[in-house]
Amino acid sequence: MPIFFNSLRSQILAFAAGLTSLTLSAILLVVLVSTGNATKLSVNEDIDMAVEAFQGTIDVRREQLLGAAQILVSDFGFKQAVASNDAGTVGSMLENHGARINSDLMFLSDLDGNILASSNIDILKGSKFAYKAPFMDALQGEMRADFYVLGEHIYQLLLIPVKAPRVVAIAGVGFEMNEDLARVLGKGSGVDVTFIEKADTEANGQQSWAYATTLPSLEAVGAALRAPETVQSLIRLPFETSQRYASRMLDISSNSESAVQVVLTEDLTRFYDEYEHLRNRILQIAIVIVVLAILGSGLIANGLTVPLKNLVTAAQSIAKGDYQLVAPPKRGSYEIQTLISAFRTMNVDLAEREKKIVYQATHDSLTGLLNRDSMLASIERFVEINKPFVLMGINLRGFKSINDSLGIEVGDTCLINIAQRIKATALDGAAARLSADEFCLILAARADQTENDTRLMCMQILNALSAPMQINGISLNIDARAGAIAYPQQADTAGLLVRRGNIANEHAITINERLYVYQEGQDKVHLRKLKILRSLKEALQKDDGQLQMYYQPKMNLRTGEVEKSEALIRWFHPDDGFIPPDLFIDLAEQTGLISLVTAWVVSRVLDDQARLKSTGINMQVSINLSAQDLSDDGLKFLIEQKLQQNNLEAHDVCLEITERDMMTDVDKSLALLNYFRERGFQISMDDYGIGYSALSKLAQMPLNELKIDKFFILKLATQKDDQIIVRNTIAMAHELGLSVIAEGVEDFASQEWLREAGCDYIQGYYLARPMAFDALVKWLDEFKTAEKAE
Amino acid sequence: MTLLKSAQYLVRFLVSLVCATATCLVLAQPITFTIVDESGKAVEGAVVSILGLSDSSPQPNAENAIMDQVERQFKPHVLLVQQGQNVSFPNSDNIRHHVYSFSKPKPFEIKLYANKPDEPVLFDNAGVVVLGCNIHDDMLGYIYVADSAYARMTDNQGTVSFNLSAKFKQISLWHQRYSFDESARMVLGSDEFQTTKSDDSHYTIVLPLAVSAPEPVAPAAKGFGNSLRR
Repeated sequence: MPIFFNSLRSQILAFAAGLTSLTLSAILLVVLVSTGNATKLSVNEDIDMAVEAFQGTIDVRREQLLGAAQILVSDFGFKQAVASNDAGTVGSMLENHGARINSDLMFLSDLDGNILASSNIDILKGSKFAYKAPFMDALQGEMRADFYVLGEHIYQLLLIPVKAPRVVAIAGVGFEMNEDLARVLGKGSGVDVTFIEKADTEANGQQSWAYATTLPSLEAVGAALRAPETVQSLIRLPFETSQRYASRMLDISSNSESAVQVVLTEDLTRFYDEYEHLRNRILQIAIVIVVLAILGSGLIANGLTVPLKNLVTAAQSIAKGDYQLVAPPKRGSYEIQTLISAFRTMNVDLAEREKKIVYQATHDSLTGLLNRDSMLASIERFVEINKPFVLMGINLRGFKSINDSLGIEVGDTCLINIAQRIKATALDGAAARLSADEFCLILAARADQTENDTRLMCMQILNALSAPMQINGISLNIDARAGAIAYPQQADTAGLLVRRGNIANEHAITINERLYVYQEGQDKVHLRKLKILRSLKEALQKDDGQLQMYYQPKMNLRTGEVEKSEALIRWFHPDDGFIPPDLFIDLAEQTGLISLVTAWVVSRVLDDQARLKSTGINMQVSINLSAQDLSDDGLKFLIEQKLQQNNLEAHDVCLEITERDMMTDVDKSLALLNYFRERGFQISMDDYGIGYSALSKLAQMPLNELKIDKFFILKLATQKDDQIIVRNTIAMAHELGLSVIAEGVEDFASQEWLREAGCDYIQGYYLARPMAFDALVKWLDEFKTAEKAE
Repeated sequence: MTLLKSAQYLVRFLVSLVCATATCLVLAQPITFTIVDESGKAVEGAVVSILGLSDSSPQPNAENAIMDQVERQFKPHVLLVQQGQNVSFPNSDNIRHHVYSFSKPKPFEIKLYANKPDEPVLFDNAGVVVLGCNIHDDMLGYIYVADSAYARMTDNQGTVSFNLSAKFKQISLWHQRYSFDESARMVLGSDEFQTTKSDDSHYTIVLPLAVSAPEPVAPAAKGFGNSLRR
């Protein structure tokens, strides 16, 4: 319902219909009211006219009566006949004179009112004239015409004294007030005329009696007598008795004894009919106009609402992303046409813009390749149609250095070239740039694709990528690492494909191979690693005792004193139990978590060192650092802060590094190490002899100590080769001014061999296993006691 | 005539108020009557006749009585004559008159004449003779033919005096306005009225006048039609 009333169409319709109805009602009202007033006036005028006519006629008739009477009574013969009581003569003379003016009644009475002669049966000879007062006036000599009821009729009667020369008799001459007269009177004005004798008192049940009328029936006369003089209302209602007549009553008798009235009645039927005819005609016109107004406004509203409705539908389609164009305006107002045109323009613009936005949302802006999300969608699409393919991930090596050294423009051009090459080989253009130097593409595969097929396909692409490219006259060689996985052999859902593809990719980077094809089960290892990393992060945050520091004592072979120890992190996971440091440290290093681990270790170890010092034991503790620690000044500040906080000195701490740690950022690492060295920290080269042994760098590094890897020590007592290497290494270290420590000493023989070989320190199970802080304190106490006992 | 009768009753009652209950009147004594109308106004030209006296028989004069016509009027207006009197009708106007009377005592007609008619008219029957002129309707005159020698006409004081030989039994009164019947007289018995004074010589008699004083007759009826005009 509210929609209906709120709609423009219904509002326009309601307004038009309402306005026209109101206007027409007002016009109707005004016309009808004025018609009503005009009718009232007209009725009054008609009646006035009838009064005039009556007056005139009566005056004329009175003059006639008077004339006839005067002639009669001045006739000497008549006088003589009357005076001599000659009834016959008198009668004939009355008849004679009455006929002259066509009078209806002539009579003669003596001075007492006794009728002596009469021409009409309404007043019989021998009867007595009934109206005494007018008769007395006549006796006194007056001649007066008046209206009387005589017998069955009303007469306009003139009483004349007959003088001879005194009044000897009274003559009467009269006209009957009959229907003919009434008709004549009403003819000009259309008014009905009725002559009545008014009853003395209505209360006595007496009724006025009509003697002559032009009204059609007795009922009509009754209604006319009851009718008011004016028109009260012209509205005829079916349940009401309407006013049929308007009447004016005039007392025309001027004597007190007769009560003759003339009733002038206007039959209102004609006015009702005219009035209703007019009303009906206006109503008909009004209905036609209202219908026209509704039709017209409906047309206008349609011209407005139909295009609007179409536009609404179109707007809704656009909202849903359907850019079907609205039909061009065929007809309708200028405004509507303009609106539709504007809407069409907007539609086209919107469609273009959305196309652009969608393109930007699904493509990489630089290379025009797909972006990550749309690539995922592509993969899903291929999986959906179950088409065999190979998903290949490519990482550019050293691309950052191109950007840094040759500028971003060259870098971008390079990326675009690579993208073109990748796209050229991709299936259905399904190639994406995932990040700055990360790409991914889909290659068409056979249904019975083997790993070897995959390998061949991918190598071709890698070879193509590594082809030299000329940019701004510079020849660039791009090296890339790639991982690959085949669908559906190695993963059958999009999610699995992406995850395993990522693993293969990372693996290729990690192992630094050009191409690595995903191997069965690799993702489980990966998942475990992820879990460990999560747990480690948790453990570091909570610091709830899962992570502990163990200390393995180091002994000075010359003095037999335990002077140093190595701090080693231990992780006791509440569910998984002991987790080997090799496992989680490597993961931490790979994911950048190692700095957090180092920070925790430094903090804990230096606290422990302070506690140890407070018990009176001076022992240098060594902390293992990783490559990332060395590329960051954060470590420097942390160590200095903890040192100061615990009131320790630099030589209380030894920093153990590996050659590998130096590889990432040599200059930065060297600078940091030089700083530490200058501050008085001991710096020890860990795991010496395995991995990246670069003797050239050994001399440059600010080292105090060389730690020979346990690989050479474990079987030292029996292995000749090891003995040669160790002996020479010790010699070389000493030549370089470095002290030497051997780790992994597990038997007395090895220890003694080392002592003889001139090794400075040993560390290993033979002396002591790594142990918790409290155990270390206890062990040291016992060791000293044993030493003293010796 | 009921109207007249009731008037007579009224007169009798009034007369009984003003007259003494005397049953006999003083002989040869002057007696005066004053005639007034109902409003007490003196009535001039009323004829008072004493009836029933032994010496009251009419005594006509040998000479002709004169009823002249001057300026279209009878002169005198009322002429009192004794029964058996001749009356001459000279015409003093320079126009002709047509004197007539339809009255019972003496219907006569003197057709169009000027100067003096050939013969006087003898009025041998007592009564009232109304005179008219057929040419001039306005002319009206009366000849009272008295049946008693004691008949006098009141002066402008309404007074008339008699020297009576004997007690009177009856008097009659006539005036042109007394009744629509021109000949009607009021007759009173001596016991029907009283003197107003103790000396029994003066009587005041009320004579009701039914006919209003003549006035110029308007030919048109008056007042008609006014009621139609609102």
